[in-house]
Amino acid sequence: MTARDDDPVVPGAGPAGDTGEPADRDGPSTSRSEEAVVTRTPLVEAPADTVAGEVVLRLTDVVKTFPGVRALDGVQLEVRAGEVHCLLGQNGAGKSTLIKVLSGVHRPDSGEAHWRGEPAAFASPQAAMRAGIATIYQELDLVEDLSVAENAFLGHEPRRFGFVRRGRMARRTREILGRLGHPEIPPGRMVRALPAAGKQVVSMARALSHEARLIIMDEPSAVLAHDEVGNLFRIIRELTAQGIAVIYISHRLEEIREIGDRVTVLKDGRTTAANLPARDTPTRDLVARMTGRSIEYVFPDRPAADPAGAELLRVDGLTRSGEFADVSLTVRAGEIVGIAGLVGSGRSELLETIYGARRAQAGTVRMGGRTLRPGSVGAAVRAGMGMAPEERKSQALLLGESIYRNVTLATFGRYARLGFTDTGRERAEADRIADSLELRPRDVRRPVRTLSGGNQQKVVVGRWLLGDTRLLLLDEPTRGVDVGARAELYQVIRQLAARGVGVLLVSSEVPEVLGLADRVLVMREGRVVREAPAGELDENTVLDLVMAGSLMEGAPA
Amino acid sequence: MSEMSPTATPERPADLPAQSPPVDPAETAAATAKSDAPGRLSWWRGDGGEGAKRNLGLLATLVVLVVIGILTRPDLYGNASWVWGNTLTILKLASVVGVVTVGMTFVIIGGGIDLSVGAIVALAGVWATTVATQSYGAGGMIFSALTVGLAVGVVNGLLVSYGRLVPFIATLAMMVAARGLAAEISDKQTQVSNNTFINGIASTELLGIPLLVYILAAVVVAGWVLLNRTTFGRRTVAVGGNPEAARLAGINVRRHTLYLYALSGLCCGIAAVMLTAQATSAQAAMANLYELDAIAAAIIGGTLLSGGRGTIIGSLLGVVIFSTITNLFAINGLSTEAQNMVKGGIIVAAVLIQQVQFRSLTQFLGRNRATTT
Repeated sequence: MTARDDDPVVPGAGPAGDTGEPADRDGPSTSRSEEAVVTRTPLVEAPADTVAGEVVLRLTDVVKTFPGVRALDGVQLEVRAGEVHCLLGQNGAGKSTLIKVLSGVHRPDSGEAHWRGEPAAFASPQAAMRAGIATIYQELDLVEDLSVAENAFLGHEPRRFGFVRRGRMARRTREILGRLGHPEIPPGRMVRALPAAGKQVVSMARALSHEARLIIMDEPSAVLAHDEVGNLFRIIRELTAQGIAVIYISHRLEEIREIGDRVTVLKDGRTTAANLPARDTPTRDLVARMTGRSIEYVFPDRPAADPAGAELLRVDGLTRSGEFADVSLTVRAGEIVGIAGLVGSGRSELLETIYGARRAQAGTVRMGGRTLRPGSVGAAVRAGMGMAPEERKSQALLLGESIYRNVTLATFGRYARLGFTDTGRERAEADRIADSLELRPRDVRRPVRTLSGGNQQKVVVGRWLLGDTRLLLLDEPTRGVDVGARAELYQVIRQLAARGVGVLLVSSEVPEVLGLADRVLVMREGRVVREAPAGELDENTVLDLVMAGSLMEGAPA
Repeated sequence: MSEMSPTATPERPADLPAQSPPVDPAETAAATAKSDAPGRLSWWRGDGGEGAKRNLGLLATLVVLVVIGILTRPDLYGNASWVWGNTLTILKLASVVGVVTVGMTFVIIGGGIDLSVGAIVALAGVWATTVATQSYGAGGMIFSALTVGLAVGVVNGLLVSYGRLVPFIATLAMMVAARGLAAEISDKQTQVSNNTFINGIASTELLGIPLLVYILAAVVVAGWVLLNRTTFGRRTVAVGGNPEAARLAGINVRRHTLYLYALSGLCCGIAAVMLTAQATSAQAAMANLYELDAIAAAIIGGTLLSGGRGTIIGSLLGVVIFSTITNLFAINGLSTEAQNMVKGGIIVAAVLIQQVQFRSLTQFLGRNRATTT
């Protein structure tokens, strides 16, 4: 297998992590025996798939739609007391929406929720809190300039005659921190002064101050340094030993292997697999359910790529520390180059850096032989680049503006005379684009926010069909796009390539990359680990490459 | 009416909740919309779609105010020539703040705020009326007022765009500093303008209408054209509506932000000339609280404080509504204190009404409110 440089986040595993099998048993079980001393429940003996606890939460067919997107499209979830239930899924799979439904931020359109045996509807975050569901968001929602105790009891401070009983609050905070195994954190300390890991403990203390029975953790390890993750896991085990259920969300499969009991996989807002045993499910199964073929992909026929196409883009040694390192690639005119990689592999950051939206620390980007000024989107656009970013709504669209103004956002200056815009011409050009992309609804004066996700994406792509875009950077172009519109977008991308436009495509859906691209680069942990013509790769090979090096190698395959 | 075309959606709310895109019911709407042909947009359609409707609401408010005037002082309103004269008085009253508000509207649509406008007017006015400047004559005075306004605006813009200060902080600091400088230059004295041309700006009338009103009209028209017909205006909306999208579309967001504050400063320079002419003098305390008047006018005119949406016409109507209220109190002999309380109430009412309108509109469309960034 390719360079398996370092095993991230394996507390206690040490260098032996490479050999997989023993490490897998070694790492967790050491900390586990420690924990067994502290608590009564012998978790070690409980096999992953037969967690004994009663079912505390059951969701059936939960659906939540937003304008243009079915964010949740039939989610099933069953969580038992005392288990760590992992939620797995790509960005946009619906995890965040699901959390928000559980924590009372969003109300589902349909479907049933049972909480501790009773039908439940979490009307508000306060109601969810009262019911015993606490959420620890990735951006910890703590008030930095209040003390640890004040944060832990924020909104439900112990009171007498309207005065906060500070002594009592401090005492109870100390007690909770003790339960979390962190008696050393002083309740009076300002939260601002704590490191990220400490803040996370305070968030959990807040959850416990509400007597939460279910704690949802949204990528809790993302803010932690490697060695702090072990501590987080120890706390989670303390919680589950007390019968508290934890929903754990992470992109890192190795963490799920270590801490999780059962796994539910989401894709495109649907549960694609429920209650898989976290430790024994082959990695390939998990990844395939996250990224694989949940729908039939319809790819247009692949025309033979013109090997004589002139080199359009040349990236040399591009580096941004912590994101990606030493990436070199080329795109020829008329060629579709796909980048496969999981979230966190640095693919989106790479794309944005090529586009000048981020400034590279090292390396060069050349368009048609000319080096682009780093960190300048304007220079990239003038050189003929266009980009459809990952987050359509927040990064690409003026939602309140009309379709045609969104289509011409990058080009309205070209149609202007002496600075005066020519909206008639703009509408005509946008009409032309709308026709060629089969935009629905067709009326380009409608506000773009009334469009479905797929049609919004067409608007963003269509923006770069105007003017003289020679290289199109597409970041997850089909996320949140329904099947029909997907096929149309594929068609559009192919047609563009046929016209000589170079395309650099990022997608976490492996079949999409393989089906669409002429050449594929596989990225993992910020590096390109493989480059090959799409014909020489198959889905399993790419999945292996994408995942390789992480601990899951040790799992039974 | 053609202004209905942009808001044609509310007529078919039943279709919209169906979100499955391929079978979009909106196709029918597209078909109907297509039949009434492109290019049949009314002139104020360019003023931002929903804006036209809001402006009708403001006009209605204005009518109500006039009706109150008629009911409370039927004796005055019975006299046609008094009504005409009073209308001109109201417009003249609105002229200086109106010019400032046009600049403010651009800044707010672009996602910022300018708290220093009153101070810039004072500084530009004081600078233009120093003995040294006055020695260059009317041209020198006007030139220095405009230049000072523009320069201070550029400094604001640099602080916000390249210095990355929060607009509120940067312009608050400028508000304090510019007034300080104005007091320093004028030595806290009132500087009398001896220039008859300058002073004549306030007293001259053309075809029976004060020159100040023409200046306001010119600035409003220029502002309207700039916002709705030029690339500058389009960039302003983009930068304020979604700065990240604007940036990724290749728009130089920082440079444009700088331009917006510069434009606001320039408007203040124009206002300084007008105000100096009216008072035939300038002092450091002049144009007091203009920033609040301008912001309030823009807000009740429908400009979204978070940026991305607003109209020049709405802002103008906002200013005129305020000066009509002032006038209403004056002709009834009521105190300015009561007047300020009513103004405060109107601001709250206007914003509440807009929120309700907006919310019901979006609910009507069957969607929860889109992010306003």
